[in-house]
Amino acid sequence: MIGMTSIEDRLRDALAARAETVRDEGPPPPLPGHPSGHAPRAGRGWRAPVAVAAAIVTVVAGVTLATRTPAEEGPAAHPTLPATPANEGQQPSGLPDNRLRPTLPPIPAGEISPAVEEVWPDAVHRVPDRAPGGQAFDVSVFVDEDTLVGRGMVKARPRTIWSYDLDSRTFTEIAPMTMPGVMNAALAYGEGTLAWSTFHEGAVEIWAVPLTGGTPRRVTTFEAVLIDDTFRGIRLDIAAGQVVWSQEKGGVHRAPLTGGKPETVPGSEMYELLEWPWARSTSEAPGRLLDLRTGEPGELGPEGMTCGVVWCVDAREAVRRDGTGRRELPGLPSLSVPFTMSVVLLDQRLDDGRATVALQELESGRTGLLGFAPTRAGDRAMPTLHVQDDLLWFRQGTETLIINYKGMNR
Amino acid sequence: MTGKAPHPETLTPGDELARLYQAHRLELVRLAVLLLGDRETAEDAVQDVFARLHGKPAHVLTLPYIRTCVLNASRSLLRRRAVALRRTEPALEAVASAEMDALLGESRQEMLTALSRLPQRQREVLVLRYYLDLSDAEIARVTRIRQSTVRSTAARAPARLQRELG
Repeated sequence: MIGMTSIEDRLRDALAARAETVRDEGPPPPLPGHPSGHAPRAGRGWRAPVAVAAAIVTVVAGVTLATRTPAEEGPAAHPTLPATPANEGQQPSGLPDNRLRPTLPPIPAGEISPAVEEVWPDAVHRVPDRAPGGQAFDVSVFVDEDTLVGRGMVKARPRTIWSYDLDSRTFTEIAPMTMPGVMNAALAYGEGTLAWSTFHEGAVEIWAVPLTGGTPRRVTTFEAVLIDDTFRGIRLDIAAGQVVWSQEKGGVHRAPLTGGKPETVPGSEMYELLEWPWARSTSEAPGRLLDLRTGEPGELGPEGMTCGVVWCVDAREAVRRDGTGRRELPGLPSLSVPFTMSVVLLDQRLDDGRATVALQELESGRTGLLGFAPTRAGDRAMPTLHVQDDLLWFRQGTETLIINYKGMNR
Repeated sequence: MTGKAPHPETLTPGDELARLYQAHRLELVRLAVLLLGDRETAEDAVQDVFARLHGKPAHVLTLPYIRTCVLNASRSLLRRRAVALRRTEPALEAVASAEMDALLGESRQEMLTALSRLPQRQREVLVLRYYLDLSDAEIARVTRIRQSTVRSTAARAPARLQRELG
């Protein structure tokens, strides 16, 4: 382990040994106050809470222990090609499932999936974990196949918007990001524009800047919806010359990208933004679709499942909203799924006692291995997985490994 | 794929809490043992945390949040214990039993005793970093202290530990 001294090794060893004195004695005693005292039985429905607008979700706690070396990169040409919009959300949810429900049958160790890089060579990218100036580079969105945009962070606060060209391996500064109260969510992208939200003194502001660079400008301002005195952020998209967003209690709103007052999209009062042009009802599970362009309602989807635009997932299976493509999942889906539900993270238990975290792309049904989850004290933890609407990323040494969902079917 | 039974009801916050409990109780008890020094108190602390989490909405029921609760419960217990010890036996060391010596060996026991002498914040940061392998950002989130403070604490604490070991 890089940078470890003997005192740290000794400490790690002593802590692991002391922890191990608390032996795993099988299922824990009943949970105080819970009717069953145990986790839901196999076969019960599972569903990510609709209230959790999870676009960035921290899935597996852990750390990469290697010492980071800031990667200095020179300037590059500005990216120009648009891609589909990104979304945002703020609710982190840590669910490292290294101990799975005993009812889930273990997978033969010989049948684990190949690594994600083997399964989706065109979707997996490695980029430096540092932008120029030593800023930590947090990935937001692909603006085209080869260009990423993300935020340079200093002391966990955003400072600069950067693009990164995968071909030339160079960073380009797009704009400073110094306004107060920037929310911890991926930047949205559409129509050549990047957008994000801030929360400051009870008000939400949406800011935008062209991908080609410039000074960020405020697009619109509105009152924040607080739940339990907490602002949970908005889901944000750019489409049809507008910024489009929803807050947690529902209602899809829009304002001209050129700036202006917000208005509610007619008929969207009980809906939340999924991905343009689709919204999902908040009043009925699993959430009926609404086409925001036409006001036409879409499929409701199978009861008890969590659905994106096309795919739905529960504890055992994936199926399309229209009931086609039903298949069993090779592992327990994490509650942390992208809002858009194009992929699902799976916790897998192996018959040799190990546990893995795998990723399944729902349209193709292909599964790739992300890594082994710790099952014993002293096992190295997995890095934090950031599951966003369009991509998944995590740190690995001095690099960030990114999986672009759109590249998975190329 | 084979046909399946109809999909039943939604997972409630209570179900999610039960799921977290079953999946992570052992890890949380071990964490509490490292923070508190003895198993019985650690078990009680974790049990108490889960009891208090009933009725909380699903979105707060995450492992980092529950770790924070365990940490807070441990701090509170240590404060109470410190008050009780001042009243009775001021020189009492937290851990150290013959059984534990036999289980762990002298060297590890020395290390744990040295750890128990560190200030609370240093001890917490070291446990979260070297037992749970959390990143500075994650430690900051669990302990509710600034990331820069985590970094400086993590840099200073091993040296202090070395001095304690003599």
